Amino acid sequence: MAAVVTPALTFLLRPLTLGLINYVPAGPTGIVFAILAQYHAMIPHIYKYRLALSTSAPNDNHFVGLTFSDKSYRYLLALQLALFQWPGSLLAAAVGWVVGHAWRNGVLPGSLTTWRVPGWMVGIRGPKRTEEFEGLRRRLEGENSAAATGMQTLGQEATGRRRTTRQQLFDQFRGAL
Amino acid sequence: MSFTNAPVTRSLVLGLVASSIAATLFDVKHYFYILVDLHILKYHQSWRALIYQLCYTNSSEVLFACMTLYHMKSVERMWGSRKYLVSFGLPRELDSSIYGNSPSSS
Repeated sequence: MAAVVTPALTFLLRPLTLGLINYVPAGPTGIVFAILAQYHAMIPHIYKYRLALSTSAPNDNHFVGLTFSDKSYRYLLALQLALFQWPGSLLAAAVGWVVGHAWRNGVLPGSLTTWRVPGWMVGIRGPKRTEEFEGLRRRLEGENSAAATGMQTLGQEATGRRRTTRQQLFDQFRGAL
Repeated sequence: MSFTNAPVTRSLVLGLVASSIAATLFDVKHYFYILVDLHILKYHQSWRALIYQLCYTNSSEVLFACMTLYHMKSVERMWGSRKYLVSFGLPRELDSSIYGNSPSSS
């Protein structure tokens, strides 16, 4: 999304700024900043520290200084990324940030934010069909033997578990494979 | 502290590094940035808008982008890979036919 908006915005801004913004640098800066916006909104900081700018004793009421957290380093990295080839990269970063927050706060139309990619693209693989049936069969057998009384269990051992030799061997070594 | 449970981040970082190195090796860096007046207005090379995000043109940008993406892996772990991939899948309008439309995340 940020990828589409950035060149378009550059296209629009160019006459306004008399050709100052004319160059869109390569690289997914907009995407990085769209994700960074999510990071900013979702992940809480682990610790905070304050950098005092005066030598007086620390006092909570009037404190002179800066407050950082462990996330500051990450924002600093991204800030450098935004400033490398400015103004183009700064514009891309700003667009990415705005789009990321728009995504998050529901400004974009709802159908966009419910899109998901199918599972095979990220390597999720569902259980195979035969394994599903195998699980069902095992559960059924378990229920049968649990409900059975003593006499029936004896008969069931002979008739209920009707598996081929190959299947038995396969079940035997299933855990090891 | 690794790429466990973050396959999209892993492939993104590796792809970014690989494509940037490849662009340098094959000397095609000049295809990956846009000068609006020259490329778009004069020569109408609108395909540049589709490929300019594939790689960075200098190594420090690659380094910083990869470090930032590496730290963003917790976002992928919270969202699940399928939702996370959409956030960069959106610009690729050409492939919009392959997106699933199921409401569940993860």
